[in-house]
Amino acid sequence: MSIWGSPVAEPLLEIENIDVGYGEGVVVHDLSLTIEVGGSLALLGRNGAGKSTLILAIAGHLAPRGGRIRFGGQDITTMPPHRRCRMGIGWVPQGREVFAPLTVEENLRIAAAPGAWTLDRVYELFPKLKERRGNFGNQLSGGEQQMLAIGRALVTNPRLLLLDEPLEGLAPVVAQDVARCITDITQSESMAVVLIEQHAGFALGLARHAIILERGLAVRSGASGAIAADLDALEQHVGIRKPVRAA
Amino acid sequence: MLGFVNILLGGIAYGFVLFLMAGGLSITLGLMGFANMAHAALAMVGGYTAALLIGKAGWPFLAAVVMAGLTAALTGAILERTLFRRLYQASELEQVLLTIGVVYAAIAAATYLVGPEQMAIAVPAWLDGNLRIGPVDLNRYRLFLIVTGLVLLVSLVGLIEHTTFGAKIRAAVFNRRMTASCGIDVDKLYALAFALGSALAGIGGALSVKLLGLDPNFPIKFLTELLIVVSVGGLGSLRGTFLAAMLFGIIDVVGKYLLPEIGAFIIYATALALLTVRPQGLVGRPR
Ligand SMILES: Nc1ncnc2c1ncn2[C@@H]1O[C@H](COP(=O)(O)OP(=O)(O)OP(=O)(O)O)[C@@H](O)[C@H]1O
Ligand SMILES: [Mg+2]
Repeated sequence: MSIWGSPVAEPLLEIENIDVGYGEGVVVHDLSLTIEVGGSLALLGRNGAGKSTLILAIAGHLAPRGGRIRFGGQDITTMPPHRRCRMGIGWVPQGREVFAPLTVEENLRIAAAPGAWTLDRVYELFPKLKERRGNFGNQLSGGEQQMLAIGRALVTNPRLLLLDEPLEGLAPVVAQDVARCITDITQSESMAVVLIEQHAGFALGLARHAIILERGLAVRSGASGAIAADLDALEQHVGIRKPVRAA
Repeated sequence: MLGFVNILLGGIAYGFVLFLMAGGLSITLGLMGFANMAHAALAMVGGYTAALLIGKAGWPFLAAVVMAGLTAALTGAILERTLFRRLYQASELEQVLLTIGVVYAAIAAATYLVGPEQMAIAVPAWLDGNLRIGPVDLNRYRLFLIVTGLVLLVSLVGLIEHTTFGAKIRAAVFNRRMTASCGIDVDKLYALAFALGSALAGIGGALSVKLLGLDPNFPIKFLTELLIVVSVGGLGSLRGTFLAAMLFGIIDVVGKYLLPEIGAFIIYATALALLTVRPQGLVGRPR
């Protein structure tokens, strides 16, 4: 019962009518979405629209007030975060949250689980990290921290990678670098991706599908190409004048 | 002069005992933010376990000390799982109240099970008497305490700073949520860290009996000393805890020797003075 894509594709993440918020307040309302195995979804919306809140619910750090979340066919609505990670949900948080008192290598080592993504493979993807493997988390530049946050999620060998504004606050050259790596990862893997990004052009170019959130409500969803072509909707809900480079 | 060498040795040995007992408290209080006033009770569990195993069951000394560490670890783990973990998010006052309650329960239990009298511990011949090195006779037991303490200190620092287990603990303390999202069961990790701290206390307690004696009031008598060592050392810093334990071990023993009238008061005065100058502790960062 995929709401998009071919009916034969196997669903990986299924969210059904969840309400999520903090304390008493509900931030994300009655949201449903499905991501297929190896699929990709861009999550767009203005500041405060509820994008990170939705991601926190998927990673297990906010309990939905109502509704259901399933992953790989299993109900994970009340499953604690560490078990979701072991099931294959990798999270790259907004603001990176690199472990400052750990070295680069330790940041990766504590997260590593058996699979195709090893520390060596992450070092191959981000040679900068290899150079800095003995440095502590707080001795890294913003770009290096972002690479580390991505690498740390990769070595858990996720089936679903949640990327929350991975280019935020990076110098344009560095952002391009990181963007290229993200593109590589998502295109060469059977790994599914949820990408939140202010650069709507990049997000729409990368993901097959997209959802636009406004004040916690999904106001548009569909194929990225269609959404990228709908400049009025993008301007109205996301606040960009022109997609930089749509698919 | 030669007598003074042995006094100094006694101070250093006492410092190591303080370090073993306070090290676990430094981990739970400083790293995990849990104010465990019952920590010295875990040392007492170790003390009684060793004394009874040796005295009543005829166990060899070293085996009894190891068993004391294991018993304290198990006791600590049970307390952590059943009581303490519920209060990780609670205020420090609530943590103190609950764990002080555990202290009194432990004192009552020890009085009921073993009795109020002082326990003695028999040490094997190779730890008894003096070892002659050049012109000086050094007390064998004190030397043994120092060597054991050094080995445990190096292992502990190595464990926290150079293993994946230690890195996980440092990560969880820094950012619990992100650590969980790396697939780490933080609850289980904290229980293990707690058991580890309890094992150290148990070993410290067992080794301290010959030096300090043991009766059911032990958890109260040594609570103040342990809190002083941890706060002067700087919360959460094993190095700081070690420095402070050495400092107070030596000051206490040497002070009581040189100035018997005010000896017992010296460590409190030193602690007050140090904390006035460096409220964050010897090694802690300013807060
Ligand atoms: N810890 C919190 N406690 C209470 N309210 C919060 C908390 N975090 C976020 N909010 C509120 O929830 C709403 C959605 O926040 P969220 O972080 O999900 O937005 P976002 O779409 O990720 O925005 P941004 O693009 O700025 O990252 C905002 O109104 C915000 O103020
Ligand atoms: Mg956000």
